[in-house]
Amino acid sequence: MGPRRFLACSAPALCLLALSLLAPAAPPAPSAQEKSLVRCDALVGFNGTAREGRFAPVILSVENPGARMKARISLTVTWGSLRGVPPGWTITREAVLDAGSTRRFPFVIPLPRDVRALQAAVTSQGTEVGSLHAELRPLATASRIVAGISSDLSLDSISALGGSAGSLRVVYPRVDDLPQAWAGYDGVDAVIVHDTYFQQLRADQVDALERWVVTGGVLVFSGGAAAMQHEPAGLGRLLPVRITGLTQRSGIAVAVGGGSLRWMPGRLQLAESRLVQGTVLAADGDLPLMVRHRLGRGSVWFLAFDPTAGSAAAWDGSLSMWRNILDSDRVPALGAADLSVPMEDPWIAALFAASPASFPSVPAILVFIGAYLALLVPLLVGPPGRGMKARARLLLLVVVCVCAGLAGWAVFNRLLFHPGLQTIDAARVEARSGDGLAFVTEKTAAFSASARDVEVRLGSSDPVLEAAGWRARPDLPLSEPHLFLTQAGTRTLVRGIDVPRLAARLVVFQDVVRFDVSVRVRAAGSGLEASVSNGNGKPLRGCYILVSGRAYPLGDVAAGASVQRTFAASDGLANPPGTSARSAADGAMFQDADSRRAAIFKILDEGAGQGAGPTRLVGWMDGPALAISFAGARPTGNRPGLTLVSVEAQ
Amino acid sequence: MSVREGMHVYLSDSRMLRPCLYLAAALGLALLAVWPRGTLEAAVRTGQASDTFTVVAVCFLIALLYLGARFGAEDFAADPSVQLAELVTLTPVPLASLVAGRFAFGLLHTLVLLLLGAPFLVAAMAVGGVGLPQALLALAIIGAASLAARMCGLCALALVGTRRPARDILLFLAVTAPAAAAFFVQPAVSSFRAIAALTRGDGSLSLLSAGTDLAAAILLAACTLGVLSGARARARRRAPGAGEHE
Repeated sequence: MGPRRFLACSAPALCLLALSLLAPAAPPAPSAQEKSLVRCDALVGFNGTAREGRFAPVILSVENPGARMKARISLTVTWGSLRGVPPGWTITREAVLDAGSTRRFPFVIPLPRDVRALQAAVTSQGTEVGSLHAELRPLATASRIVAGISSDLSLDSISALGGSAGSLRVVYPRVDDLPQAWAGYDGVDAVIVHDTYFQQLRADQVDALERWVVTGGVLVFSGGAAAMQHEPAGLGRLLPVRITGLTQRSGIAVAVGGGSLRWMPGRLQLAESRLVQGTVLAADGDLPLMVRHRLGRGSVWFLAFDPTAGSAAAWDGSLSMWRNILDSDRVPALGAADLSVPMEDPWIAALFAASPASFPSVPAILVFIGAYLALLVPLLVGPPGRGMKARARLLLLVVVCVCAGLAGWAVFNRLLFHPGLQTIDAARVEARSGDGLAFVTEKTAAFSASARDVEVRLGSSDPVLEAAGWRARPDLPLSEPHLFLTQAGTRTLVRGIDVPRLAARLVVFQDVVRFDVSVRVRAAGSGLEASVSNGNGKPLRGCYILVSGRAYPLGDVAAGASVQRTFAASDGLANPPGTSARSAADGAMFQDADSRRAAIFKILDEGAGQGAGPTRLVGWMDGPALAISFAGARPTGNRPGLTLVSVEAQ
Repeated sequence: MSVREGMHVYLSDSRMLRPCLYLAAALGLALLAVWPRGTLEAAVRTGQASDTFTVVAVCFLIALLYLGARFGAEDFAADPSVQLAELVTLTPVPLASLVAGRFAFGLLHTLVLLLLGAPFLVAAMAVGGVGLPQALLALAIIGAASLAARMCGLCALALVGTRRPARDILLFLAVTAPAAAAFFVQPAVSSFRAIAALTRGDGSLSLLSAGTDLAAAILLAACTLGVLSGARARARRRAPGAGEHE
């Protein structure tokens, strides 16, 4: 073989050898994980400020420079001590991250006083492709927070108001960053809409604002030239007026509280408007200057002038006016419930005390034991050497034992006593006639004869789980529960609730729901005339109208029905049911109901000073009020939950 | 004693059957005594309710430990020692099959006894805070412990015969000492602790405890085989003409 032939024959082999030597030197192909690394960023609270002890909004931005992927986004908040709340909270959501896209995921998280950190993780196919760690402690503040929607920092003067918390901070969130869930505003006392910089709010953002007002928020629309942006921004349906144009005045009278007016001098540009709903507190002829519309527990204000512009900014009555509007430190909708040991919670205790659920009686077990022994005696004490054969005796013995076992299981594990999870459900629905929305607080105590983990399914992603409702008996060792919320579409699954044996967990949910009940009450001679319309799918039971401490029985109002009734003054019961001074005659109010209604009414309304309260309809609905279900649970004593409905009359 | 023989003896003789009735009556009384009398509200509010299931299961365990040991030692039989001694010394029956037969019948009889007490456990399940899996685990623990006690009784019978009180003292110590030692020194294999752990939803101890007791029963059966082999060998040496054959 000559050298040329040798080279010709061995050329392919030499090429392969050269390639194999070069191959390790070539850069490795990027792995799938490296290709799909995502970048995370989080915006906590409003511009990085959130009130401690409240819920706060979080916007997690996930940038995916790689290929399209299905991902699981999880957000974990941890805090230090238990103090009755779970020390951890994880919210998980499935999402598709398109190639080269950035998506924003809004969350609402609890922010306890000893909050520590927020951990975000993005996983795809079981691999973590992105994460974020943020210290939350520096972001939490004890100050009251007012959110100003404004293109400039023009509302800072309000921070001079302070409050019971000691100070007040004005923050300026971007329109894009406004929460999409009402609970995101939990840490905010008021939202002042000055201008949206010609940006439009999304429908869910407007809806969140409206629902938050129902829970007790204060929403203020300022006027002036910027008021022309309110309706185009999508806020028109929240405005108590319809803005028709602009006008000018030289000095106006402005309400500053206590029914008094103060003069605001100078040339002012005002928004011209027509009243749609609410009360005009100050006006210049037909021109509304200050309007307040009560919505649920909160209120929506409209100021025809721009408090940040011109002579209004320098007006010495400005702080008094804001004090009148913002009132005191807002009572939070969340976390305000008095949550002690679940079974000592007044709502639950009232229902549980009247619950028929009990252990099977001693006579029942006595009968069972007696019957079983009576069947065994002839089998076990038969005369020796006679009677049945051993095999037949064994067979009969097995049959008797199996039958007794089945009977014991059926009677003591199903018929007389249920070993599974049992729940007691009490709710309160608060609404104002015609609002179409109601604030619901639903408390459910879950208990079981055996230790178990509980899963709660929420029919909506909106209800806010009350973290503070997590306390078991103080003497029970807490297993440091960690809540896991999985949100899929509009549904949420809550896991991580452990119920120890013969102990209870109290779960509190709060939400704003559609609620269509209108109540009109007017004086008719010495009595009154009431008309109630129930546009809901559930009947209202045992209704009565409360006017100046007197109760006028109305009876049941069927779903979709309207009731009109005229009462004489003598029809009113002086001491409504539940009050300590309740007379024997007043017992008629509950003759068609049961003691549970009276007990819960007493607890809920005794302290509310019903005599001094507004005219309202009080009734009952079969619960639960929210779409909540506990997996495998059944109501205690086969009774549905009890929901108190309170509708303030027009 | 084969399984068929054992079944005939144990299910025909009223002396063997009567303890079963006493067992059921004792368990019924225990269940009645610890049945919760307060309201469910009070129990949940205070978290204090009698551990009905645990108490009944422990009573069942104690009763079956006692009965297992007595049945194993053939205390309820008409003339047990004669039977066992005759079988070992006078017949050529293989000792392994003798012990295996007694083990197998012991297992079957223990199952019958478990079945007898099971309705009480089932009735106590819901108020005791346990489910069916825990109840089955409790039966497994009790059954394994009872079988071990039964083999302990058989071993004591093989060792000491019917000499009382020596046999009873030996039997008492052989059953209680390991149970006490396990309870205080090695809780992981204690039957009592395993039963108590069931209401806390901890079933891991149960299988360990039952497995240990089953292993102990097999070990005791092997010991019994050794003792009986020794007894047969001694009997053969003492037998007239044994030396001539050699």
